[in-house]
This record gives sequence, C-alpha cells and structure tokens, in this order.
Amino acid sequence: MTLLDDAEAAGTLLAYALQPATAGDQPYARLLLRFADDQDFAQLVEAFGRGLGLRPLGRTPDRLVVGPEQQSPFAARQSDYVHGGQRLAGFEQRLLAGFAHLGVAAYCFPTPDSLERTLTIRVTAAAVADELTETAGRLAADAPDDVAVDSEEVREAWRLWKALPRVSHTETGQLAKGRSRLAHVTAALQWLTDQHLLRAGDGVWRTTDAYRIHVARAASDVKLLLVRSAWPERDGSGDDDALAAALERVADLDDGAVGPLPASSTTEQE
Amino acid sequence: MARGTLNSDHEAQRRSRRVKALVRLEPLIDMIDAASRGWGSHQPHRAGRYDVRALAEAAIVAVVEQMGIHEAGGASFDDVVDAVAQTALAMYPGDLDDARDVARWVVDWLINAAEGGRARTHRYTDPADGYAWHTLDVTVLYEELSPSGDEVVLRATSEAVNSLIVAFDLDLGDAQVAAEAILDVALASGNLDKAVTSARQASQTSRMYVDQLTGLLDRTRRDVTTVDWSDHVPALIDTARTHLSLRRRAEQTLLTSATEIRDEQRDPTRRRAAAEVVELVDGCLTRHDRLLTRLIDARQVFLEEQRRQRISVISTPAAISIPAELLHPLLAGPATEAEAPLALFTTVSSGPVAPRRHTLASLVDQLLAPRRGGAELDDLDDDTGELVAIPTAVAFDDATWEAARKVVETVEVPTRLSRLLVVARDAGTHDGLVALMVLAERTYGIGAGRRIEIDGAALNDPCWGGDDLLVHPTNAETDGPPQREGAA
Repeated sequence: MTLLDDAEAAGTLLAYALQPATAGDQPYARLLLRFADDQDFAQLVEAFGRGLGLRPLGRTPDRLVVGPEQQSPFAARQSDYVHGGQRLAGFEQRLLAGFAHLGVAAYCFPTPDSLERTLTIRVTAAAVADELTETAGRLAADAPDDVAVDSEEVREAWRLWKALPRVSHTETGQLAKGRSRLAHVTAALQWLTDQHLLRAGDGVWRTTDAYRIHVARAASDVKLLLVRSAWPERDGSGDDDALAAALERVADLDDGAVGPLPASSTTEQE
Repeated sequence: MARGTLNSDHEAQRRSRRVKALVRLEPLIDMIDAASRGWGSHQPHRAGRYDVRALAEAAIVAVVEQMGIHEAGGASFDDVVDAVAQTALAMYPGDLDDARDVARWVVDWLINAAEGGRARTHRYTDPADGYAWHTLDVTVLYEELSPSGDEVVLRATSEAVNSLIVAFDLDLGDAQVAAEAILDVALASGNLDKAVTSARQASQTSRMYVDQLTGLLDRTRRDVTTVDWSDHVPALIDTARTHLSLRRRAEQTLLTSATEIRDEQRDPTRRRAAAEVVELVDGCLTRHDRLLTRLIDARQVFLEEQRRQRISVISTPAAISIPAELLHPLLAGPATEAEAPLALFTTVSSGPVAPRRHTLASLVDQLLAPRRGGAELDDLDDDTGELVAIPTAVAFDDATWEAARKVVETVEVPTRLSRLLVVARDAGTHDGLVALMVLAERTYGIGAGRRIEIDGAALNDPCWGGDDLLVHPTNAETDGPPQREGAA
C-alpha cells in the first residue's frame, strides 16, 4: 500500500461517513474494519477529517459517525432545517425551529444517563410539542403577571412558543408550515430523518444511535457556550473575544455565508 | 460530622441498595395499580380473567430467555407478545384476541411505550446520603435497533432482572449462594420439588451474569470511554472470577449429588425431578464456563479496544441534562439570547451535510425530486387527468426553414452574408434563420458542404453584427478560386 492508496482509502471512508445511506455497503464495512484495526490508517483518517472540519465522534457497528466543526463546509445551515428548507425564515421562525430541535432531543434524552444508553426511543411530533408546551406553561405560571413584555429585547423565549397554536392547517388540510407547534416539530423530525438520524414509521419516529452521539456532542457544545456567556463581562478578556467570534460564526450560519475557513476569507477580502 | 461508625456506613449502603431495589419495582407496582383501575372501569371483564403480575413475569422471562440464546440480541416484540398471550390464555382460555390485547398492553407498559420507551424517573431518599432526595432512571424492558437498523429487539436491563428475578438486597453472587444452599438442603432432605425451583433460579442467575458481562464488553467495543476500566471493571472482573471458580466447584458438587439421587431414587417422580436438576445444573456449568472464558479474555478485549479507539474517539461529552441545563434556561431567558445557542445546537446535532453538487445528472434528479420537507408532495393531486400530447416546441416552422434554405441555395457565385440577409428580408423570409444556417455550416459543417469564408469584412446590417461571411456556391471547388477581390 502506498501513501496515495492510503489517502484515497481515507478519503473514501470519510465520503461514506458523510453519506449515511451507505451504511452496510461492503466496501464501507471493509474500510471500517481497517479503521478499527489499523492504527496508522485511523490516524490518517482523523487528520484528513480535521482538514475538512470533521470530528470523528464515535463508531457504531456499521457507521463512522463524524460531526462537523462549526466552520466546516459540511455543517448544516439554518436554511436547511428551518421548516423544510424555506430560505425566507425570520427571527421568530428560526428560533421556533431551534426550540423544536432542542425539544426533540430533550424528549428523547431527558436525563444524563439516557445520553449514554443505546436504546431506541419512539417519538411523535405531538409528544415533543406537548412536552415543550408543558415546560413553557410552567415558566408562564412562575412569571409575574404585570410585567410589560412588549419590548422585543426582554421578551422571554417561552412566550413565542406559547403564542403558537398547537396545530394549524391549510385549506387543503395539510399542516401549515411554520404556523404551529406541530408543524415546527414535524419539520425537525423530517429533517433529522433526511439526515438518517431518525427512522420514520407511520407518524412515529425512532432514534438511531448516531442521533444520540450527535446530540451528546451538541449538548456539550451548547453547555459550554452557555457557561461562557454567563460569565460577567470583563474588559478585553481574550475569552470574551473568542466567545464573540464564536457567536459571530454561529450567526453567520443562518444566511449560509460560511466559508470553509475564517482565515482564508480574511485574505480574500484584501 | 459523620454520625455513624464504619459499620453503620456499610449498613447504610445495604439499606440504600434495598431502597433502590424498591424503586426499581415501582413500574410493576404502578402497572398492577393501573390494571386494577383501568381494567376495572374500561374492561371490567379482564379483572377476573388475568393476573397482571404473572403476565409481567412471563414477559420478562420471555425476553431474558432470548437474550441468553442470542448473546448480542434480544427478543422481537411480537415473540414476547405471543409468549405473554399464551400465558394469558392459560389463565383464561378461549379469547385469543383479548389475550393478545392484554399481552400487548403489558409489554407496552414494561417498555414504557406511552412515553416512547424512555426511562421512568422516580424520586427516593437515600439512606447512605442522609436521606437526601435523589432520582433514579428505571427501565424494565427496552428496545434496541439491530446493527443493520432494520430490526427492533427487546432487551431487559440487568437492574430490572436482578431486582425482579433475583432478589432485593443481594447481589448476583449472593443470590446464587442462597439458591444453591437451598438446593443442597433440599437434595439432602429429599425435597426435590423445591430443589428444582432453586436450580431454575440459579440457572437464570448465571444467565444474567453472562449477559451483564457481554453488555459491558459490547459497550467497550462501541466506546471504550463509557466504561470505567480503571477501577470499577477490573475489581468487578476479579471478584467475578474468584466467585465463579468457587461456584463452579459448588455446582460440581451439586451435580454429583443430584446425579446420585437420580440414579438411586426408586420413586419415579423424584427420579425425574433429580434428572431435571442434573440437566439444569449442567446448563449452569456450561454457562459458567463460557463466562469464565469471557472473563479471562476481558482484559485483552479492553486493551485491544483501547488501542483501536484511542484515535477514533476524541472525547466523551460530559453528562448533561438537556431539559434542565439547556431547554429550561433558554426558554426562560430573553428570546434574542436564545438564537445563537439554538443555532449551534441544531447545526451540531444535525450531523454533517454533504455539500450539494450540481452536476448535470444530479441537477436533473434534484429538479425532479420532491422538495425536502415532503409537505408539498401531498399538495399534488393524485388524479393526473387525461394525458394530452404536448406539441414539441419549435423555434421555426417547416415553411420558414424551407424558405431560408432556398435563399441560401440560390447562391451561384460567392456572395456576402449581408446580401443574403437583404434577399431574405425582401422575400419575407426570416433573416435570422438564414444567418443561423450560414453560421452552422461554417462552424459545424451542417448543410450542403459549402465553403464559408471569413475574410475580415465586417457585417454592415441594421439587425446583425459580426463578420460579413463569404458564402461560396456548392460547386465552388470545381469553379476555381473564389472571387475575393470582386466581393471586396
């Protein structure tokens, strides 16, 4: 085996990992086996992945689970998942779509333990939407009645979710996109199914192990972000700058303007 | 600060275990309660027919038996429902549909299907922690996707089987000591009915032991970091290994005495019972042997997996409660501050997206494919109506082609394109098509094989621009050199 052959094999394995539908293919299975057995090859795959902004997160018996770094060209954009790929989503729509996604994860993995168990969860749009509404309802019950909430700046997120009807249909009897809690959750479930992270059945979805692995990584990334942003602002602290940069990158995701690497985009501007 | 002595600490641990064992029984207690209420009001006939306790036991045993047969597998939902329905039929023969309904209800309850198969979270106070409140995730049966992802198998948690099938406060080994002590006494006193029961229990215990270790090694193979191999597992393996070798010796003794009884008893009932004991203990021994082999291999498995996975798994994310640590604070805070964390969560949890490639072939597929989201697909009317032939779109009709061709073919001496355009317009023919024909003949050789020449003259025409091409007649080659000077 020459270096060129190995590089090609590493690239092929990553290509398979990027196409979940290929799980179970013979050449994929052979490469996975080699990845498991051959340390040098595994290192090559990992380095290759780093270059592409892909982190190997884990291995299921028939898949290599890779997660995209934020700036990776392989990261999903908001235009991909905000109710079925509509590009003209506004702030509220983006937020509600995000809560639908977080709601699905919270429903499937309600405890730290559950993030480590390989069992499959059955999930329906109604169950997720209702549980989210319940949480929002508890927050509403705790909120003081007479606080003015007209100001966009301070309006709590749960009010957005509560303001949404549970279900809303079009004239033809379809779920009206982005108009109801069920529509948002259904869109999230559908998107995760397209990503091969859930399996669809008759109105009931099932979680795969790959979904659990991605959610665990996402939860830990977001937790880190929340912990950092909870720190009191300090003047000129490097961490704050890094956080601001991270937030900016996240904000960029929504219009799909993310280039492969932030560094190279700077040189392009000059 | 610590009020208790070392002894009472140990005692507190034992009491803590007992309380947790009680917590693990809660799903069953709730189930019995639900059956007595639900069946009482909605299905009053069922209360007199079925004992839900025995049905739950049958379901768990059906699952555990399959787990013992297929090491990494489990039972299918339908198989377990069948087994439970058979038990229900034994309680009340004659109503198969109802028996199946009840069986499905029981299995669904044990999975907690109403909540998607998630664990039930129960609160309890821990004697080992000053009776502070804790929560415990309780799962009895759970579903797992097979590696291929096409099949769903049912499995029982070790905790569930230990507390439900084995005992409250005893760990696996102790339960076996007890079971075998009872068997020993029973054999000595000739009370073989009891002995058979104890042997069955011992058999199930060893089966669970195999499963526990298999699960551990499976988890190690999947992700070595999720298993505590630094302290916990080596200690467990050591204990289990010592313990098992002792058990093997004990069971060897039991086997000998049971075999003696079988061979010497005159009473045929007792002889049969002894034979059954021999068979069961034999099975236990086989299972122990398998377990011993696995224990001996375990360390090797760990070392290999650690080597394999050192590279492939970067890190295990810290334990996080998504509802409490992420969802709740984000919902409670200002909406404007939730956007970035939500975007981060969704992007990372969505997994990688292969950038869309627009090759011609994939573009056609994409244009023909239903849109992502799928809702639009339903908007399409299934009734396609009558098929109507759509005429092929043409830019020029046959008559226009014919007229243009005539204009080009009238060339008898080398002629400028500008001249042909004038002729075409005068004749009421499409001048653009004439230009196109000349160009096509020049560029692609389509046409009658005329020579079309570019000599640098510019086209001077109100509608068209470019080179004023020189069009030679079809027989130009035989006519000698073109009359370039004359045209210029």
